[in-house]
Formats: sequence, C-alpha cells, structure tokens
Amino acid sequence: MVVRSVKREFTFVSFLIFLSLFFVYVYNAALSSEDKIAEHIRTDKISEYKRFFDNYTKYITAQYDVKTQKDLFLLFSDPGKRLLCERSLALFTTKAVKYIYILQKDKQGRFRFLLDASQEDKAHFYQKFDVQNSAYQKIYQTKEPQIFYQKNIQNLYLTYLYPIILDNKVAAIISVDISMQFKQDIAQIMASFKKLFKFLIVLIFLVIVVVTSYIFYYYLSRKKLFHDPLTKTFNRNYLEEISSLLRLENYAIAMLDLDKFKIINDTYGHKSGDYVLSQSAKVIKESLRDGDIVIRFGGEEFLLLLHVRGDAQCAVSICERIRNNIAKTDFIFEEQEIFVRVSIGLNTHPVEAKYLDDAIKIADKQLYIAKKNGRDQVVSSMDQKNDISQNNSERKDISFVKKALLEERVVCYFQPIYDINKKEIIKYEALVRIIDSDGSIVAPFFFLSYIAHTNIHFKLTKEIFKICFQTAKEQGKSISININYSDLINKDIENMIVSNLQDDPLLASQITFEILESDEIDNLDLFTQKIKILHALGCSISIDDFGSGYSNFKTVLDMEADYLKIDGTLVKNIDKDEKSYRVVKNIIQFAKDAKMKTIAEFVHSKEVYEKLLLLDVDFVQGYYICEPKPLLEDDIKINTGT
Amino acid sequence: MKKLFVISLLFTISLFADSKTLMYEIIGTVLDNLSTPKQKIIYSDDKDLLKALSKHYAISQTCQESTFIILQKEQLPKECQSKDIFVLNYNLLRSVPQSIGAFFFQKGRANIVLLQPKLQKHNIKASPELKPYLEEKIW
Repeated sequence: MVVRSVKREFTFVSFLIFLSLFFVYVYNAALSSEDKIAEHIRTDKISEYKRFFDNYTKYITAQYDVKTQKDLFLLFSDPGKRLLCERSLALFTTKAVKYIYILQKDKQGRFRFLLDASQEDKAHFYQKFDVQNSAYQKIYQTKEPQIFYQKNIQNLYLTYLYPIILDNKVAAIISVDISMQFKQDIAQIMASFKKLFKFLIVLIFLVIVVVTSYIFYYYLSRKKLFHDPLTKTFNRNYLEEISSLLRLENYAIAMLDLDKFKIINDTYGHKSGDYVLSQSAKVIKESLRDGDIVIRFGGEEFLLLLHVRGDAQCAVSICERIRNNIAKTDFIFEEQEIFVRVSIGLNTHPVEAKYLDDAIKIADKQLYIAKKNGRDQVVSSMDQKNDISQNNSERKDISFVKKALLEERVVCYFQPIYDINKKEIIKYEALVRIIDSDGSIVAPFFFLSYIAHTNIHFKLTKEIFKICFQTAKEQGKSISININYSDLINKDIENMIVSNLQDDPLLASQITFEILESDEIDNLDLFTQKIKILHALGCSISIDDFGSGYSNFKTVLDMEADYLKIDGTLVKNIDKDEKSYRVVKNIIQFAKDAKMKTIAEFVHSKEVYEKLLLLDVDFVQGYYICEPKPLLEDDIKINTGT
Repeated sequence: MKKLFVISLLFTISLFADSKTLMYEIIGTVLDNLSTPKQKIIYSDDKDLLKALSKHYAISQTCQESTFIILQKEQLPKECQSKDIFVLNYNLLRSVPQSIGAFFFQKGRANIVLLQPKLQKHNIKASPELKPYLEEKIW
C-alpha cells in the first residue's frame, strides 16, 4: 500500500510534468504559429509583386516587341522609352518599396542597371552594381523569383528578385528592395494575432494552474481523508480504500488496544489521553518497518497490517516488539508518569479468512482473549491454531447465529445459584446455548466473540430475554440474565425490557440483571440512568465478575446493586492461593458494608465450597453445586456434600 | 578566385562593421591594391577618413603636399587637380574629370568603380583583385 501511495505521487508528478510540457508545447506552437502567419502574410504580399511583374513583363515585351536580352538592352538604351518604362514600373512603388530597378548581367558577369524606378538614390543607365548575395546568381539557374533578407543594409528588410525571361533565358532581373516599413505593416497585422496568442497562452496557463491547484487540493484532501490527525496514522477510510486491493497472503493482521485507556482518560483527563494515544502511535510506528501499515481503528484501538509474506513468527516478533517498546516508554504528561500497556490480538494467516472483515474479526477475537487473560500480552491465532484446527468445525460466525435465530434454535441453560444459609436455590443464571443443525449443543465461547457489537448480538440478547421472561413467568422462578453495557444502552432492548416488565411487577421481581464489571463504560451517567430504570421496574441488579474489571468502588456503590458476584478466577483458587483467599474475603466484607449479597461462582470443588463457608459468602454457583441444565428442575440434586 | 576573395573580403567586413567603418576598411583595401608611381601621401576632405587612414598611410592636411586625394565633396584648388583623385560619390566621378575611381553606397550596398583609362593615364596599377571593379567608362 505504501507502494500504491508512491505510485499515486508518481502519477501526480508525472501529470504535472505532462501539464508543463503541454504548456511549453502550446507556448511554442503559438509562437511558431505567429511566425507561420507572419510568413503567410509576407508570402501573400510578395506574391502580389509577382503578379504585378508578370503583367509588367508582358506589357513591355508586347508594347516594344522585346524578344531577347539584346532587345531589352536596346529598349532601355533609349532614354525616352526607358523613361516610359521607368514610370510604368514606378507605379508599383509603395511606402514599403524603397528601391525598384532592373538589373542585367553583362558578359563579365557584372550586374548593371538597365532601369531604376526608385524615388531616391537613383542609379545611371548601365551603371555597375556590386551585389554580393548568391540569390542574384541563383535566379539565373532556377529562373524562379528569389527572396532574401537584408541584415546589414539599414532600413531594408528584404529583397525580391523577379526574373524577366526572354527566349527561355533570364534576360534581366526586376529587383525590389522592401523597406522595414513592410515588416512594420506585417507586425501591425500580427499585433491582433499576438494579442490572441497571449490571451490563449495566459488562458491555458491559468487552466493549468487551476487544474494543478485542484489536483494538489484533491491530494491534500485525500491525505486528510485517510489520516487521523491525532495519531498521524491512517484511519478506517484508508482501510476501506485499500481493502479491495489488499493481498491478504502477504500480511498478518493485528488488533492492538491500549489497556485500561478509559482509566487514563478518567484519571488524568482527556488531554493526557490524547497524549498517550499520539505517543503510543509514534512508538508503534517506530517499531514497525516501511511496508507495515498502522490504522487507527477506533478510540484506542489500532489495526496493524504487517507485511510478512506468510512468515507468521515474524509477525509475532513485531507484535512483541511493539508491546515491549510501549511498556519501556515513559509516558510523562504534565509531570505525571502514566503507565501504558497494550494487548495485541494477531491473526497470522488472514488469507484463510474469506474477507478482510472476517480476518479482522479473528484478530479481534485474539485481542479479546488477550484482554480476558489479563492484558499486556500478545495472543496469536497461531497459538490457537491447534485449538482452531480441532474446533474448526465448531467455529461459528455471524451467519451461524443468524440462522439459529431464524430457526429458533437459540435456547437457555440454567445454572442454580444456591443460598448457603437457607440451603435452597434462590435463582438460576440463564446461559445461552445454540442447538446446532446436527443436534449438538454449542456453547457461547464459539460464537459470542464473532457477533460482539453487531446487530445480531442485540437480536440474540432480545431472544434470550424473551426465553427468560417466558420461563420465569411460566415456572415462577427467579432468573439472572447477563447483560453487557452495549445491550443496556440499546434502545430496542430497553423498550423490550420495559414493555415486558412495566405492567408485571411479579415478573420484574423475579429478574436479576447481571452486569459485567469488566465492560468498559464510556458514559457513566447514561449507564447509571439505565440502572435506575431497571431498579424502578423492580428488578434486581448484580455486578458480575467483580474483581476482574477496573471499576472503582464509587462506581460500584453508585450502581446500588443488590448482588455482587465475585469473579470466578479469584474463587476457583481460593483453596490453594492465599492471595485469592484474602481478596475474596475483602470483597465479601466490602459487599456486606455496602449492603450487597455476595455470590461466589466457579465453585468447582468441595475444598473451594468449604473455604467459602468460612468466609460467610451468601450464595454459591458452580459445577460443584450443579451444572447448567436446559430446564428449571425443582428436584435437582445439590452437590453440597451435606 | 581573386574576385571571389575581394568580394568575400568586402562582404565579411560588411558583416561586422557599421557603414563608416566599412567604408574606411574598403578604401584601405582599395588603396593597398593600387600601386602608384609615387609614395602615397593621402589627403581627404573627410577628416575622419583621414584619421582612420593615418594608421597605415602617410597623410597630409593639405592637398598640395599630398600625392593621393580622396574627395568627398570639396572643390579642389587648381594645383591639386592633376593629382590622383579617388572620389566618394558616383556623381563626383562624373563632375571631377581627373578622378580615377570611386567608392560609394548605391541602394545601401558598397560599390567600387575604378576607371581603367584614368588609371593608365596616372600610371597606377590595379592588382588583379580589383579587376571586377574596373570600368572602361563612366555610365
């Protein structure tokens, strides 16, 4: 693509050169046309003399019965006849004709005046006339009129020689010396042409200037159109522009995201956020090679097109280099040191995807995994290759979910949430599943990441809500439904929730919305407003995966949640990891102080369960208690060991 | 060939000189190619010409002390009329019967006329280079 940009610049420069050459051509053509027109006028005027002299020759030869050179000499030897002939010839004199005379070559080859009809500097009959121009000799050979320009005789422009042919020989020459007046006459005629040519040249020059300016402006506009001013990288417009030309087999695609960027913005302000973005982009660019492309994909997300020609390991190395360089860079804004880390998802073989969008989604999925696994890392599709190969048949994309929705193959499994104190199931968490066309059950891991932020995701959410509301209503059980921030602020989903629960307070009281704490919330006010709507309807709110995200305690408190679900990654190691144990203990204490009930998920063993009993957690959930089931069964066997 | 030489010489001079300089150069060339019985002591009523010729010839400020007169328009005293006279006007060639030749511009072109009978009378020999300009009479 860099090559393409260079090609465009080359085309632009070539076009400018072409325009310049065109202008030079037009300019020269105008000048040569000017010369040609002047020559044409000159020839036209001179041809008039030829006609005159043709008639004159005919007149004297007929009038005086002149047949040979000697006859002509004898004619002009007679002063009376000579005077008459001289007067006739003098009729042709104009302002432009300075001298007009007849010459004859004598036996010695010297030219002599036979007659001189000039108004001034008259020569005598048969006076010798020293001529130097070869045209005087040439006319005797060619018997054709000759023209030559005078360069060294003052006030003379050119001389026209007309042969008087008698007995098929040049008997004499009528010589006309044309004065500079003739040139001025032509110049006067040419003046209007010159004005026209000047106008044309100026017009063409202006057109070229306008076209060049337009092209230049267009070039700049394109540059603006394709560049992000803050990070000085390409933007998504550029990606769209190149997508059809991109040869995926030559590239690896990486999605890079600045970790916890929202916290940076919230903590240090937007100016610091901008600073971090621009400096990070600079580090990224410096870590790349000439053939690689950086595109600001969205907020703090960058898409990298790494020109690796199928060398997957090279792409991984580049991503690691970027991650290390960012981590090593000191981001200091207004004397505050800001720690910046990045997560990178890498699709090493984008060519395997059908379209660029699909290839990007695979990179995005790797990024999602990198984020989930604790951030500040590179996750490559190459690492997942075996899994993907194994589960290739299980990978499900948007069309899979879309088809499942159409064919009503979306179902919910329910996992009980068990009250330790009352020793009873208080509610069930709804977990989405899709029944594949072969009847197998597909877990959300295989399709959720593909549909994130798409319209299908919202449709799926609405379908889950529909199933849950119906199940809760029919079976009179309480159900917890996961909802993420983007779902929560979606107007359609909000309308659906309100229309179902507004007039059914009993159903509303059976529903708990579990909001992921790890979701990045870009508009806290809007988020709080939506939570209030759910509270107003009479629903309960649970904070899901608490401890995995970035929310501060104030945000959590502002949500006025009823339940706090402790992140499973903390819970699952509570029996072995003292640090996890202490964190969980403190979370439980914080929840009690905030008047929130605690739920521990991922309870996968007796040891974990017993530890939780010691910590006075309110509710537990996990495979040790009960695995998710397709139906709400009253008589499920709770595996509490009691 | 010689004719061509002189013509070429005149033509070359004419390319690079203004009419005055051209005239001086041509007159100088003509003088070089005329052999007179006595040493040429030149007088001219054209003072600029005289000054130009003084670089190569002996000159005189009066016609009486000269042996060769180049006449532009002046009437000569009687004692000078028998000397070698070269005129700078074709009409003077007619009006000054003793004149041996002339240099003049006819229709802007440099012209030389040397009268063969007068040259013989004054015992002046013209070099072959001047042959194209020799005339038997004034036309």
